[in-house]
Amino acid sequence: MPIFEYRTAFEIARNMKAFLNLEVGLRRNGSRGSRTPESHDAGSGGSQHPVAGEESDGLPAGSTPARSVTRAATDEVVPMFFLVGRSKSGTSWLMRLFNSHPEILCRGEGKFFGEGKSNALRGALARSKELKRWLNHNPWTLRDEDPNLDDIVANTISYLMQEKLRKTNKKIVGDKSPFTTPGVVEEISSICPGAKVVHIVRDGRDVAVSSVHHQWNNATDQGGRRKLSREKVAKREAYRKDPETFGASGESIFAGEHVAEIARSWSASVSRAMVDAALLGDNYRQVRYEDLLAEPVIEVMRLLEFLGADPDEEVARGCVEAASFEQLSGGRTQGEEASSSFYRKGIAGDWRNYFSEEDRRVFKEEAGELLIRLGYEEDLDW
Amino acid sequence: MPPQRSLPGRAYARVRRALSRVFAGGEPELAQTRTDVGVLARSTPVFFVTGLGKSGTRWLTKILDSHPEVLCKGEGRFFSAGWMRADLNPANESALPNSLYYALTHSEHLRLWIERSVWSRDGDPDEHIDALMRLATEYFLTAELSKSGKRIVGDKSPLLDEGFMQEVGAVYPGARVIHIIRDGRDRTVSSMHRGWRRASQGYLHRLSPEELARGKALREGRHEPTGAFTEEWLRQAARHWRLLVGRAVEDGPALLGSDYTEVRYEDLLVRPNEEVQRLLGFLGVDTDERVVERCVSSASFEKLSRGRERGQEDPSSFYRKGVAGDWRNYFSEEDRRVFKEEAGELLIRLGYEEDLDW
Repeated sequence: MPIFEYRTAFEIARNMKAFLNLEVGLRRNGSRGSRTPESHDAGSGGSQHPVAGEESDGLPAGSTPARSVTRAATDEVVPMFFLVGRSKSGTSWLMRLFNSHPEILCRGEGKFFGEGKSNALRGALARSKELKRWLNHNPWTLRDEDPNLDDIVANTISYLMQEKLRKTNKKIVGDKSPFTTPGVVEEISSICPGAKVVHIVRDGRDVAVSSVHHQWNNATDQGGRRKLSREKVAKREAYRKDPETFGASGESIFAGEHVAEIARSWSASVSRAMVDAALLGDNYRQVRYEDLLAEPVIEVMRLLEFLGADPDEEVARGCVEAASFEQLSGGRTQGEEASSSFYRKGIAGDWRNYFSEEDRRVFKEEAGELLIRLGYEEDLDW
Repeated sequence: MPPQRSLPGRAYARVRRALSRVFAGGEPELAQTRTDVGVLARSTPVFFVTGLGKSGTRWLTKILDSHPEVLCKGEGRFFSAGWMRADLNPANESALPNSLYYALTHSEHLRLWIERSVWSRDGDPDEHIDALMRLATEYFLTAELSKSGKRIVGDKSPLLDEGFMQEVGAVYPGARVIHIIRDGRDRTVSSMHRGWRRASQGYLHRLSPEELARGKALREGRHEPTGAFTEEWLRQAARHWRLLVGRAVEDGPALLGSDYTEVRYEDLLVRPNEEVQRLLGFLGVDTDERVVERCVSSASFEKLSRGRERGQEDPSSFYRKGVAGDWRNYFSEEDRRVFKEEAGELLIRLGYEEDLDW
């Protein structure tokens, strides 16, 4: 519900701005404090001093080096981007693909976002009572509603990413930020307002199948950290013993409510991101896993251009090859399954081999509409 | 802000945020503001005015802030990770906070995050925290600076513990530090008065009943034979001065080199223009005589105390008396002996005395 409230507010604001026909630079100069003579005199109670309030960048005139900084700085600011998506939608694949571009450094996961998550940077800082107290009792931070904590988060993100970038000879830096919390795109838009976002989307049914395998592999009895129910372990063992027989039996690989849960979370996180994309305007691009499979070079060229990297066809092809399934999986061809590998099978439409009639019904109910909106189905008759 | 906002309140906050986003940086072409401040920070001269409490830090801060190119205020409490506020009651919302450096170095969640994130885990966590500390300090100082239209920015950072110079040197190389020093005996008298004043105004204080009684006796004109201080209090105050100031005058030049300078409260009293001019030069701003005169006069004792002359005492005022050598009116023979024992050497080193015969 809050999403729509928010969007409405955003739209109203955007229209108001258009209506008032504000110049782009106007407000920025204001907020950077092109000072008025009054404010100055109030503080020092004395004669006028030649300080330039009129200068276009709002900084005082003069010849000291500090002056020219802002303008030079804007060119100097390193382009940052975030690669987002529901887990098991190809975020790692696309991360490696980007990272093999000679101009792009892309790593993951930074775990920057998630106000409520203690293992995320923002959540960690939000949990510091001392920091909160410091921010609340400080003459330097008393700027009415400015989100000071997020200023620290923003500074930290850009510092860490740019430090890493500096040690390479690349020029663009990106973090893989999967949807560990539902509001990642909104958080990016408010904390790193200039950053670009690439959202990779995959058919939720394939996501569901991939998620099950991922859970199986990350179970505690496989050296992972996920506690699996007895029912899930039984499914896994039956499947692994003989995948073909298991598939032919018509039994679902999903235990209990699992398919419904995945469908629900997929639908919620993907649609939330698509709604929040409005906050980013032209700084948002979506790419479908399936299109990346079918037309990798064309899709990659489009994304590279968006990120401001060299979109040359040969370069793009190089990226695609460097991050090909064969490379990532250590030699298997796409579709050749290794159930326990992170790069398990790497194809589209695999869900047909797994979904029972009941799974289809449940998935339609939870996420059928989003499948249509994303163009994966034309209707609910599948 | 109340902890639980009402629903309409939250909706309102959202609208405000959306509005401010569109107008101040939500649109891609407007989005650079925050980054700009960050970059601006990297080359803006930043300084800190430090000094033990009751040594004239606030006076000096006002002098510097009166300069048209200098923004100086306080207290930001950026440094002093070793200092803990006296009132640890978490419910006391008005209690002073610990320093930013304390907050950042004591956040377990932050440290864990730094140790795990792909962007930071291969570095030294302490170095990362220092970098964050510097970034945040720069950011907050320069954000205010850019609004003020002035050119350089400084925080009044009282000397709270012995680590101050070390921290500044390690975290913020290039930052300049002005250390204001006052005769430890006058500072002690001033500090005693501050304690009495706070107690009489109902603030948190650490005075014993006997110390309070001495204050009362003094106010009633019964100076003799009790004296102003209990031995324990005086010893502690003298030791505090010797440890913190003694450490700062050693560490300052050793660790900060030419980015460190000192000024004596007493010199600022006797030859204000000369000293202020020197300090402005140290900060790299306009040292024109008229500007200097303006700084000195707009922070004169008369102005700060709203009309009293220097030496004309008002025990209830932060700007109580503003003179040098007032300790002679308070120190008994016994007090002198105690102070000499604890801090006599530092008085000589700082040029307040030639020897212990005083």
